[in-house]
Amino acid sequence: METRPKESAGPPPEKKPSLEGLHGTVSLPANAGQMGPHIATEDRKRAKDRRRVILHRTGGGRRSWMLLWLLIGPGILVMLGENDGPSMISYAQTGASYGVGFFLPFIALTFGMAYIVQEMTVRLGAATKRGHAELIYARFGRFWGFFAMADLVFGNLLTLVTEFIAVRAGLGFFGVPPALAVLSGLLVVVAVVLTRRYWTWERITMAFAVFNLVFVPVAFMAHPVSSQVVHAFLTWRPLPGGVNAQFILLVMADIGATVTPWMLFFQQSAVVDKGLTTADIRHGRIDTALGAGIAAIAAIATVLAVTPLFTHQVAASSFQGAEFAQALVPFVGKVGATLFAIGIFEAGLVAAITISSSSAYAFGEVMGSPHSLNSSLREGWPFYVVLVAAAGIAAILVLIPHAPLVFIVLIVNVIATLAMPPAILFLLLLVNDREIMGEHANTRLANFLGVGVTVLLVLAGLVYGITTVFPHILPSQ
Amino acid sequence: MHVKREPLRTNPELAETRVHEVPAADQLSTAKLRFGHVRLARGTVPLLWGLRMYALLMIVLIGVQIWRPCTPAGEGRAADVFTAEEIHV
Repeated sequence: METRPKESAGPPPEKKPSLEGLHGTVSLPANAGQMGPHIATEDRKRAKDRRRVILHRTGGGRRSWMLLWLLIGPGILVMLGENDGPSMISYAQTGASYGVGFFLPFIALTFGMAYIVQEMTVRLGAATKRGHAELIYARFGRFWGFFAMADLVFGNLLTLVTEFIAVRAGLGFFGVPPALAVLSGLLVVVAVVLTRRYWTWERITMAFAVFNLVFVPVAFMAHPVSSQVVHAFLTWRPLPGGVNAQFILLVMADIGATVTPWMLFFQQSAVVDKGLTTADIRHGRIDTALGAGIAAIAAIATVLAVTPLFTHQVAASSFQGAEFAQALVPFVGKVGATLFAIGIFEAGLVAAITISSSSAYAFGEVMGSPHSLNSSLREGWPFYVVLVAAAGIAAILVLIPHAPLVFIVLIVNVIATLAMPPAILFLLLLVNDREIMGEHANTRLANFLGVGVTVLLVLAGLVYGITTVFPHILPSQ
Repeated sequence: MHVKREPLRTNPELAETRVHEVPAADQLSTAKLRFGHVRLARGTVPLLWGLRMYALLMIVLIGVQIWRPCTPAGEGRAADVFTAEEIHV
């Protein structure tokens, strides 16, 4: 099929126009019906979704709300997907170790950092119609493309293991045997994907993700003192024990619970798969901000929910998800503990769905094979095989007796924090590439904020490294 | 763009046309333009490798951090680090 720019469409070209400005709409040859141009299944389904967006773009009132409903998704999913098993356990560890204080505003700040980074992926995806791995491969060559994909797939595998640990822990609270719990989680991942429709997949996953907010009622059941919460947000205090090794580890874990490489790849690929264009960037930003806000509320609620463990000095340093739920029974009751366990299960499940899809997107983008949740099984089988294999391998690893699961849970968020600076550097290079981004390239402010986040991550990593090499430089308690 | 409200598949030929018209340019999976390669700036490659080495070094340090409390000599010395116990679910 041959495509060519529509000659009369769009404004006159600027010096460095974006792709959309360059090409206008794709025109058809006069005999297109007879030629039978190759239209992939994903194009048909995406066209159907785009048609609904176009219908609702004109007109205000209810239509603008409907337009927002149609365009949200990738931002909410990426933020709530990152409120995953190890993240919620990190927040719970934080609350049990430090109570109400420094970490409440700090967690809110980390979601601000996440928004700064993720907003760039919305613009990249909408302006270039390419996934992150595909762009790295196309612009910087095969070596860096494969490197980025290998990093992502390895990191994702470790993270997926922790998601199935969370699924196992959450359902374990209800007495479900580990093998059955993990198999159930895997079946849900496969079932959602088998809808073979991005829109359906997105809405089902969002419905699961809403359960991330079950931590909010648990927080109320824990009866936090509102004046203490306000004081913490205003003063970033108290910080019991001051700056010590555990504090730095939790700072790293909480950053890693919010800003991670898979998020960059996932959201950009999802923006492309959903079919967002530059006209949708504003809604993409709202989507990302909504996701960051909801995820921050759930994360802070988790810290507040476990503060009774801090107040009553319950030793929780080796707790996993279900143990937190059990330990909370005397303070928030059986209902609160049950909600907490459901939250841990949901966190693992939603992240398993989103992270496995990010691996499959990256694989397809770099290998040049179809990579869409709108693909038919026949057209997109490599994509679906990678997706199910990523989740399946992680599920099997969780069930291997004596596998170093604790080790993986402990390191996964910290590794995410350490792997982020190289990933953000690629992101900044791409989003400043005016040849592909045109008018949607980064502004000075966006660059300042992006570089600021990178420097903060590197500094946090360096402080962590120094305290590891010289453990006595800081007090241990 | 004017789009009528009738179902997408009433006429197969019309449906094909709409698949072309409704998505933005360069959005069809078969109509994507190829991007040319760009050379990374002279300072960027060392920076990329530097950050990568930094990440690898830090991951080794994490291994040390986790491993140290597990050794007999390290017991109690790094009690503040999460202990490596079995998961109870």
